Amino acid sequence: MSVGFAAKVASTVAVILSVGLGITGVLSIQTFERTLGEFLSSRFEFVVNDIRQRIETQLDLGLGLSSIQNIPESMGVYVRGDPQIFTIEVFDESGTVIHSTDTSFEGDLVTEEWMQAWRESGDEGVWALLQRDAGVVGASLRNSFDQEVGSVALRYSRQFLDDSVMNRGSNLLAAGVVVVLVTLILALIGSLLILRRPLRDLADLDASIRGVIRKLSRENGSDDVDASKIRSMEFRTFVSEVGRARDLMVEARDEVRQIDEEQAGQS
Amino acid sequence: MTGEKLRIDPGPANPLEELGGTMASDGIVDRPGVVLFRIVTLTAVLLLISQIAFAWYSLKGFEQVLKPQLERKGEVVARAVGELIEFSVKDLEIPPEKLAGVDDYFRQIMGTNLEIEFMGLLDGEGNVFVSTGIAPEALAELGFDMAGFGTDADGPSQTKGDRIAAAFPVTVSGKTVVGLLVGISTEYVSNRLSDIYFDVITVIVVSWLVTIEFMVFFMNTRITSPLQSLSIAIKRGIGGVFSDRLVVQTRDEVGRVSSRLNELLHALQQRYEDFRFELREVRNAQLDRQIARKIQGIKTRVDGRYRFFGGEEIRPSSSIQIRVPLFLLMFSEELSRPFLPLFINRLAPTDSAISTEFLVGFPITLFMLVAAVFTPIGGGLVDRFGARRVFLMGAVPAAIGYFGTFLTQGYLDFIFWRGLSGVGFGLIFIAAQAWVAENSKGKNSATEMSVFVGAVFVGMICGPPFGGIIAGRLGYETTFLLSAGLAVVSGLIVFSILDDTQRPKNRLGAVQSLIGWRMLFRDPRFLAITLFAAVPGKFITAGFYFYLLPLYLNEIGNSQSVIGWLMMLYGISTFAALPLASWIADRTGRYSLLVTSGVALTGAGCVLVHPALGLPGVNTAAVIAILGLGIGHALSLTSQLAMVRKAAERYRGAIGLTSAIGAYRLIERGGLILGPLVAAPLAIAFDLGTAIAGIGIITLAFVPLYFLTMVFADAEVDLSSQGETA
Repeated sequence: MSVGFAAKVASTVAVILSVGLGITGVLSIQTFERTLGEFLSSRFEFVVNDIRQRIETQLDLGLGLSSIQNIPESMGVYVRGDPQIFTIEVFDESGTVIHSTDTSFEGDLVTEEWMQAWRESGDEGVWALLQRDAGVVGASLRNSFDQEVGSVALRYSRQFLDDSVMNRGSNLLAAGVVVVLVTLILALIGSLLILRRPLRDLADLDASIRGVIRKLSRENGSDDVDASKIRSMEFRTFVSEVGRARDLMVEARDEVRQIDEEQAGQS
Repeated sequence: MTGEKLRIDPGPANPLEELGGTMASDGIVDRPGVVLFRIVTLTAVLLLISQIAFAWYSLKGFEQVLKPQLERKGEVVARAVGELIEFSVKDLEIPPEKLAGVDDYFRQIMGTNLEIEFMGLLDGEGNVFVSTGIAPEALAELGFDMAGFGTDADGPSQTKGDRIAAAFPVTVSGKTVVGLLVGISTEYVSNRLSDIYFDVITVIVVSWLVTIEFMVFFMNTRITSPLQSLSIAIKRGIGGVFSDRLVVQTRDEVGRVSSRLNELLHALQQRYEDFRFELREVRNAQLDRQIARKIQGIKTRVDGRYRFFGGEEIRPSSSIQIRVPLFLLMFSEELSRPFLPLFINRLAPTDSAISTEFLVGFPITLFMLVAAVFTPIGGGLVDRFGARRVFLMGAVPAAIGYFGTFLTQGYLDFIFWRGLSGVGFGLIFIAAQAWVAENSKGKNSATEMSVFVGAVFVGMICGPPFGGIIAGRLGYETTFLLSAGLAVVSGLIVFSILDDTQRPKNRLGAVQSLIGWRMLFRDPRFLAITLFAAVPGKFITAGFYFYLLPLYLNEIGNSQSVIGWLMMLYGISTFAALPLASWIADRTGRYSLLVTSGVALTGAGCVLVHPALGLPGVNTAAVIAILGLGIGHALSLTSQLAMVRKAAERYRGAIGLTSAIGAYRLIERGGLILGPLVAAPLAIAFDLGTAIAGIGIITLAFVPLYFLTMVFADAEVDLSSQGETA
């Protein structure tokens, strides 16, 4: 009986702990994903800024975006040197791709999402997007008159980010299961220890009340209610009061019977 | 015939003898709270230990992934810059020691890439040509072997002690003539990880609080409340009342004992029924009226001492039962806190003649205004229909409002749905306070009121971080759908758990209520509590905490994580200090002194932020001010509510308790409006630190006003009582 109640408490503790650890895990993974994403985009931001500087040097010399030289080669070096980089593209203010490490994209229009992110990039001119299949980091290109003439954008694989998050998530899930199991055992033992005495109190109370009920329902009997085990002072006083109530009723009834018998004797 | 006596063996005369003199009588019925305390402590400790272990494990894993990413960044920088050096040295044939402007170039790179601690140019023998961010001797002493970089053994990065560096060696005829070294700041890694530590601490605190909240609720529903009902029945039995019946809601050990006690009471009532029947039969059979009267007298002797019929049902009910439903409602409302202005901004018409700032601020203000208006209205409804029904009445518009916000298509829709949620929020806010007040034991007013304040603060602490995450993952609208679901769950809990069939009936008419309000507003004590304690409390919260503090913390260079954590300190400190503050209040009965100290502490904390005081440490002054606000509010809030309750009791019959609380809440909101109105010009006229100190000084000015009004009110009461004596 006592194990049943302790098990209920322990299982509740375990459920609540699982929720607590689940929350901790989800929020931690969220923080990890954000930080790792920032670390990755910081690296690609450097690459994008490096390319931007090289392009802007040529723009300052009066060259147009379509006539810049050596830049596509530099972009290619970066893409070949880092397997996480998909493509690096340069597009003009209309969104038309002028240079790309994947030449099949040249002449295409970039998505409206990119254009919006670029437009909203503000004074710093750096923008970033996290799309379903890839991350994008971009930087605005300004000519010598400080006019925005386009942007350079780097698309990188989300796979590393997603895999890292997935791996950490799996590890945390496994660790969480172990922690919950250990905690469940500790909670069960702890609950048993804490509830042992209160449950014994309740069992004693139950037995004691049953004894009082038996006594009340019997007309005659010799067994007394043993309240010595009951630790609750209030309950012991209560049982005494029940006894006094019953005694008073018995005394009153006996008195009435006696009167009745005397009356019957007289008549 | 004489019936046998029911003799109770009471055990040892002194329970201490039984227990070896070490423990007084402490059965579970006498002290049900002890079991609750122990189980909740066990849960709290287990959760804390397991979460710390779990967080440590996760952070270790994060570090393993994040550090190599910084090395990769160093490598990218080294390669990009190294290629320029290589071009200059190999193609332009400039000797490395003659390269000009390298230091400036390095500084420029380091300025925009904070994770780079130093950069340097060295030859193959370790001679330093250029060093930026580190002294040349120190760079040479680090002993990075330029020739070793790029080999299979070392790769493009090397680690020396706690320094990590990436390099790009330039080789001519197989000999390293110069190499670029890019040192990664280990401090940067620590700083980024410490940001995560702060986030994780936030997570632990949030989930810990949520867990404790639910555990207290569970234990209260399953153990404490039924045991308290059992204790009430036993106490009433000691007083001679055996007519009650316990309402049993659980089938466990506690439920079994309660059922058994019901059986006992039933058996006793049956016994009395038999006794009464026998006496009636004997009395009715008597021809002599005197004898019949004598028998009636014997019955009256029993009836005078004991009561066996016409009792009440004792239902497990406690102020704590409202905690989880209220927490869920607060939580659901606070979920949208981090993104609400952004969401409104997205919905606001772009071609409007009205400023965007106003369009964004209007729905937020409207929500607060509607909630404020419906708080006193809800107070009247509670007095009439009870807290449970009004809570349920409030949960319906709150849930519909959140659901409507989820479906919202435009700015005007949004305003309507938020207004509807505001109606629900106002009703629920007052109903929850009324439930706590109705179910409090009287002498522990502040402690009972801390149940309400605690639930509100836990919701305020936990909601925003969760809301931010859910909004980030599932979108702003979905967060409102979750809020709607939580409001429904909250209502269902209230519907199934709360039972106010025994609530005191208080049906005051509208005219009577108006008279009550007038009496209340003419009471200097009530005015002092509301105008000089509650209003400055909200004033400093809105002016300092909501408005100036985030700007100030950002200005002194804290990251978003640290700002979030520091802001959370307010809720945590209030929540932590509440039990002690309310215990002191109830123990000493010096509610007014605690209110004064609380208001003074909140103001004094802000004054310390003044730049002229120059406290050491970047965040010291801000932390003191936040803790001052949190602890000050803990001292003040529950005592204020206890005093409002006492004020309402003085006009019992004229005004209901909930209406009084409603009036107090309505005036209190004035502080929320005043706060930003005063803080904004202060921030424009002075620096942020001085503005915060200004808010503190204005708050402190309320202390003597409150104190003098209370002294005046007490003197008035003394005079009137002397007059009555005379």
